[in-house]
Amino acid sequence: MLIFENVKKSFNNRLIIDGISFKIEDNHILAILGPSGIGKTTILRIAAGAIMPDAGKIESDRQKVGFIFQEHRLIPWRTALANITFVLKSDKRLAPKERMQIGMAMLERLGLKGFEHYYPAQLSGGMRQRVSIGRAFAIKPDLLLMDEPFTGLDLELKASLQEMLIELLEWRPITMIYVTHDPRDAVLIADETIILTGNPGKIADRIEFHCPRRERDQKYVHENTMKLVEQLSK
Amino acid sequence: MTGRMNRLLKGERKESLWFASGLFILAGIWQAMSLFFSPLVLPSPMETLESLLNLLTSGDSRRDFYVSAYRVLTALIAVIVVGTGIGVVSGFKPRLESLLKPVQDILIAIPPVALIMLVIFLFGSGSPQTIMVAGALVFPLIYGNTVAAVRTVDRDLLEMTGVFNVSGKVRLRDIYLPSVIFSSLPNILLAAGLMVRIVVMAEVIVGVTVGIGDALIIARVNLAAREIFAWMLVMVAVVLIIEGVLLYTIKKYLLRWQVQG
Repeated sequence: MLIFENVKKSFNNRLIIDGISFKIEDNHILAILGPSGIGKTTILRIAAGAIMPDAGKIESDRQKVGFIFQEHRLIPWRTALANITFVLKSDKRLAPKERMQIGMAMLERLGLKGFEHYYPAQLSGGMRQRVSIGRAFAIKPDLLLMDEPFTGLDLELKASLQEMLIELLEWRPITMIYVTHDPRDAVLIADETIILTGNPGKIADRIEFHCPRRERDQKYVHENTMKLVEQLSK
Repeated sequence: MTGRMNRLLKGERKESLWFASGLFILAGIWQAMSLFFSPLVLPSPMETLESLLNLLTSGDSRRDFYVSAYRVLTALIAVIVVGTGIGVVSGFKPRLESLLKPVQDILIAIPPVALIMLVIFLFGSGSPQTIMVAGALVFPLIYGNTVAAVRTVDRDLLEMTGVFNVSGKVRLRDIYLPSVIFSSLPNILLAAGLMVRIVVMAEVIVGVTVGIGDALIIARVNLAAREIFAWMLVMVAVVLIIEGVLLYTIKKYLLRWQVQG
């Protein structure tokens, strides 16, 4: 479980988020939706422990946090396999051989078998993002944070990555915060969405999606996307 | 990937052609000028090549070459290890950087000859002194670049390591050191070429008994301009070989991750 209670954060004396409160149950996915610059990434960085809030309380029993960034942030001089095993090095219980096995299994699951010794520069944009997703799942995180990982990708690639992500979530359910500015992405992946508006960013609305992810057909996705769009434009 | 490599190789072939043309033009100018001067002052390219062959077959010359090469390599390895090591620490500790700034400034500002004189006064003449002077003169180049490289490590990568709770040791080994090494490569190439020139100059001034510098002094005393020119060719070849070998190693092994698919 992760609880944000009345969290505030300023940068350079400018209040970015003001009194953000939410609660995520275990293995639930919360999408944070809102326009650019509203403080979505700030919430993620606070949840990751990368920055501290100025006020408010955060309750979390999370030990391991995985992060999927908007850009892949792979180490350019490490191969796809080494990029995944890199984040496992902090786990002293894992022997190098075990790290390799985990990395190889993850690449196979991502459909990247045969590309383990390729460097990021030799992979396509979609492949790099897959490795970045695999890196986050490899550590078996208690909390996964995603910061608009599908931004800038073409529709086909975005759809295939989303499908892969849904498969990974079925394989390994995780508590997750998913930041996006695309309402459709939120409907496809999240269990609940909070909508941020205003300046500083505040929660304007909260919408839950009770339908199981695999049963969300086009009609369901469209209707709920429109509902979110309506809320966003208020 | 193969296509790109081929394009790169084709590009290198073109560059080599222009390089060879430049050499040919230079040899032509040299030949033309040698017609107006005495061979005692400016020997022709052919006369120089004859001297070069003599040098290559002479045991003494080979010994001079090996001794100088040993000094160059020793000073280069020492300055890379020391300059990078202290540079990495200074990159993290601005106070150490400030503490070392006067030394860095002095080494950059003072003429090499003055430093050589100082070393002779303090420590006398000899091979270690030559290596010390050469290392000290190249140190600011390697050290300064390392400090800058540590400070400019990709912030996004560092944030990623922070979020994934990667230990400081792993961060240093897998992020900082490779970043420093990759951004230092052009300066290491530069340092290698610079080192050959500085070592020979130091040998001449320090007055060692073996080495290319010593051979140049003997040639000057004997008014053997042909030999001086031959040694110059040797030094040019050494710099080109060092740069070539280093460049090949860098491209083939160290920077292979930059080749796009």
